Amino acid sequence: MPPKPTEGPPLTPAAFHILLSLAENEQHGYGIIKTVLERSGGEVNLGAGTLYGNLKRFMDLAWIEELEARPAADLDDERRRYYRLTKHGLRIAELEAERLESLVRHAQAARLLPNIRISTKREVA
Amino acid sequence: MKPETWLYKQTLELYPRAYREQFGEPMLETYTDALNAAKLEGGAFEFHKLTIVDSVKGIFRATAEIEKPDVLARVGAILAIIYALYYLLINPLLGVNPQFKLQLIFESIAPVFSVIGFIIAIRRSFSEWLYFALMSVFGTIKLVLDAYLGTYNWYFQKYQLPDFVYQLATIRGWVGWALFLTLFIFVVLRSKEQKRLSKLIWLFLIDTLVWVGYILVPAPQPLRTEFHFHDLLFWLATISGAVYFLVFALKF
Repeated sequence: MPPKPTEGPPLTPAAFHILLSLAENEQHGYGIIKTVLERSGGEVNLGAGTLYGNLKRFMDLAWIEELEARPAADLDDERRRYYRLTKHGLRIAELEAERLESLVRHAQAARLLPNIRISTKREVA
Repeated sequence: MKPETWLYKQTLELYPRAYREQFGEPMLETYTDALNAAKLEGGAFEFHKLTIVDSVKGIFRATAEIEKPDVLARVGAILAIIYALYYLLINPLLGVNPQFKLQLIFESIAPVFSVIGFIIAIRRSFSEWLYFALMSVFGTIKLVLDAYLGTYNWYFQKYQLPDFVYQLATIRGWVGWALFLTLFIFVVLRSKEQKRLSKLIWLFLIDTLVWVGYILVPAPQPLRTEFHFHDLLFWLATISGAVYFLVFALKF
């Protein structure tokens, strides 16, 4: 299925967490679940159904792709499948991060949050 | 294979075939890893709760995305499982009259076979026909058995007035089944002719919807809810099958 141009942010928290975990490095299903659970402080606990439902949608949208070979084939279970972000998927994750950053700025302007400076991607570069 | 893993593997059979073929194996692998971790951390109960909710959501979502016409039939299959579990696990505790043991056994086993039949059917090309044949046979036998064993008479003795009024809704099931079987024959004949279906089919569709409304929105509040629960599940399962059949039929 070709990517739908209208698909993109805002993403659900689960979807964004999955993209975030894949932005760091390629991972298999359980690896993603663990990373998301740790990063969210236990708030986002993905089941296999939710995880693979999202992974399927991301693959249909060409946001992620499945690796043909396992990174550590000799140390790993051969049934594991690894996934990584595509350039398009990385751009979607960036757009969502920018959207969230903008929300935080609005919250700061409304004095709902302390005025901590957020470095933009351009400044970091 | 651990019992939990075996059970999860069977649950994966309820996902659409294309989805299962693409993700069934990694899902099972992920489930096994997560289960082992949960057991080590002593959180197996929470994990099982999460898995049940997640699986139901996942099956519905995957089905809706991949095989839209199958949604209602799968709803029927899931309801039939709940219905079977209700009879197997809960109903005996309610003190069912021993006279109805045969019926109890039938009503416990038949939905399970119906579901197994359904699962076998959706993996083959003749899915619709086998599924509806099974549902028709199952529903008809149930109605005949109900009448033969006098189950409804026993129910009536236990009922108070509002329950009795509520029960009228399920008496209408006889009419519903007659219409359903007529529709079945009608669509088979029409499909052979490959002609457009007549307006009559819309009357059947309206009838089915009225039937659903009649059962789901009863005017009186039932006092013996445990008796009504099985009726509701049974008719939801069969009606979902009937609606699915209509969706299939309207493709012609």
